[in-house]
Amino acid sequence: MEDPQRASARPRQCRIVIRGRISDRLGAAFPEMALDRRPGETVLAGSVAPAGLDRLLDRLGDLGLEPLSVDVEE
Amino acid sequence: MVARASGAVLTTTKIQVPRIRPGLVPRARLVGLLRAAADARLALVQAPVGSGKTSLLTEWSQSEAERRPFAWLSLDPEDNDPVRFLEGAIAALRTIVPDAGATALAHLGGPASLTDVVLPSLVNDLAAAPRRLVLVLDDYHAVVDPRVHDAVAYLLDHQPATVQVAVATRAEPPLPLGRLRVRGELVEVRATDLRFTEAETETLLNATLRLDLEPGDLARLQERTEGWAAGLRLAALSLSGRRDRHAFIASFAGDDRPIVDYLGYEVLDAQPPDVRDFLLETSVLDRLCGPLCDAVTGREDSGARLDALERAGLLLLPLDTKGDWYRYHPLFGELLRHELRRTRADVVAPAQRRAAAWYRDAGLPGAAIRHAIAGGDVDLAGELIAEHWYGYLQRGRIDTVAGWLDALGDDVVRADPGLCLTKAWIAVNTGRLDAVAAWIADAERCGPDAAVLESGVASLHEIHCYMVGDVEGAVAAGRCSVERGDTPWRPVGCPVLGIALFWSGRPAEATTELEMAADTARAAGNHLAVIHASGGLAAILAEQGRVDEAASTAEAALALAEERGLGEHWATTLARVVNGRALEQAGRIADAAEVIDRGVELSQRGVATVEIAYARLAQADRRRLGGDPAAAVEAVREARRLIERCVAPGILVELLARTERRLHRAPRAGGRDRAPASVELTDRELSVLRLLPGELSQRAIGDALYVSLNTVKSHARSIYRKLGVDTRDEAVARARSLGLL
Repeated sequence: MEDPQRASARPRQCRIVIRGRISDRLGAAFPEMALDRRPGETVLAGSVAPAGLDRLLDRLGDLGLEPLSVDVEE
Repeated sequence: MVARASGAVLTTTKIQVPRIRPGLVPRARLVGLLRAAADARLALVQAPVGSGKTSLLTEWSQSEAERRPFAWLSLDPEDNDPVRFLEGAIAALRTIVPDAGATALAHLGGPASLTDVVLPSLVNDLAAAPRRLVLVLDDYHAVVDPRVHDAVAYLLDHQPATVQVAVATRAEPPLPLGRLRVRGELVEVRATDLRFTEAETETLLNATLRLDLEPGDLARLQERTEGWAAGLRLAALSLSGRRDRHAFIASFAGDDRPIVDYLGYEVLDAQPPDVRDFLLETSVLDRLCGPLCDAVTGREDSGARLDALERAGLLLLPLDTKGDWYRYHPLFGELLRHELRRTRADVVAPAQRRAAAWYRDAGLPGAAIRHAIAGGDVDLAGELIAEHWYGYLQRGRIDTVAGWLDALGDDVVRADPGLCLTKAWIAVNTGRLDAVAAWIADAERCGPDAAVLESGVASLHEIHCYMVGDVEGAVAAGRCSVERGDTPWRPVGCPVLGIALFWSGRPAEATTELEMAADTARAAGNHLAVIHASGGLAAILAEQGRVDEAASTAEAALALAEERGLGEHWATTLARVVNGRALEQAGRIADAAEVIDRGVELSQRGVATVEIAYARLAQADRRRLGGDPAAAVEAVREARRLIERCVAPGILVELLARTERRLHRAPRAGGRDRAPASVELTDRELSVLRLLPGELSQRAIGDALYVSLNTVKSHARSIYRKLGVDTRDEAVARARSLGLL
């Protein structure tokens, strides 16, 4: 059986939508995520461990980039 | 452990109420909302970075200046150590109630739990204070440690009606908000409330900053930024040097980049190159002052530059009233750090290292260690941790030290014998005895050739042996440590050698050693070691029948413990036991019972098995005298169980036999005082015995050995009988002490 603690620490596919089309210059702050720019919003997608997701959301918040939505694959 | 001088370790900038910056737009409606809710227990201001939370709280505090004062604490990631957090909160409260928290500080970092002593005494001090006050916890999102949240929740539940807590945070804090809300004890200001209205936007841009914008442009800016304070501030900075303001606003309003992405870079790129370089290079600092920036950038005019940047409104926030310390607005600081990493990644680590060196030379080891770790300067970090960890631990800052070592990573720690020993010491202090031996082995593997390291290894080995009840091993290791001379490690183990000598049956040597240890500790202000050594001396005197001297020595140790807020520490065990026995002999049975029971209780907070057993034996004697033989038997059984677990319990074996004899009740093993020296078990019984320490049920043991449940039961009964025990746990303990397991 899988150790539940380890299972919860496993990286998961995350999808974060932020308002606005982020430039390459600022987008470079998130090298671990693929950026998909759409009209009026940017989707950041990538595989992130839970602790990494907290740090990522903190960094977004530090730059005033409040997420519109955060989806984590089950 | 020494009593803390509050504030000595705390940078005063953390408890400074920010000054009102020029150009601040009055937020009368929000201030009015907060003023009207003065009876709410909690005022919560929750909104994203740059929404104007701190500015609102500052304005609110000024508006209430005549009504009630504000105690201010700005939090940072280091406050995830509850001891540091409460030191800060008490220092802030003391700006208003000068002697608040004296008892709390004395117990902080000691063995008492926060909710037993520290927080209740702080609440009492606040209740006794004549004034109403507000305690502001700014940047509360920096806290993630649940123990800090628990402490704040406790304050919210118990604070007197004269106290209001105000929390400013980016994220919803894990505090009992629902409960406060339904009771009407919560006033909230959210991001939507903080948005600048069109009128406020006009006040900021036209009335205060005199940008002379047309109503249409004002409306476009307000709409594009959604009244976000930092967005408007960045827009104002971008506009101030321009003539084509209308065109700029139209272009910004028509762009769909995030606000920071557009305006932040506008502001940064508009700076002359030398200003830009200065901004980027100093962005690695979470606090800035002239000399520190000089050291990091290699310039000589940083102080003047900081003044100029603040005057230009370049998102530099003052941290004190003298204008010495600043920090970047968190939003701008993060943008600068990102730009530095993107364009000049190679200068980040050297800048961190120069900051570390400056903080080291300025006598601020905590900040120096953080920057050294961030800059990957393992040598400097290791050197500073080796120099300062013991001082931090003595102030109860074990989480901070553990955090440094975690940040360095186990691989780095394993390569440095001094850091391995620090890990071992933390493990001793947090009761993780299983980890101690491995870290000591790691330290030795690094090849300790210096006397200091050998002394450190020996001191920790001594303490480890003592904790697991190997008094002979503790004596040998303690002597080995003493032979290495006066190293920083010697005081760590100093009373333990003497007490171990006593348990090993050498009272004369023990007395000499303990008197020396007590003198050394007294000179060094190490009160805990004085108390522990005095308790040992008292126990020796008591065993020698020198009743009066024993009693006065124990009383002195306990008085010192009370005075220094160490009354809850397990190191008071021996002094309590001797004190209790003296009361018993004076016929004060009830008082004796209380003191000895307390000794037993506190002894269990430590992990020194022999001391717990010694306290249990005293408890058994006292219960026998108190006419409760059943309870006395229970206590002596517990003592026996503990002593059998010890590797080498020394004279505890005789003391146990003495108490058992006094109880006129031989132990279960057929009238034998001690367990038989050897026990003959059949092969079948031995195979069952080997499975007893595990989790298997008797039925599962039968399955594993291919025999029936009844056969297992019959083997077990036979094993218990031969070992002279009643339970499975006792059987395991006895079998271990006889070397059968």
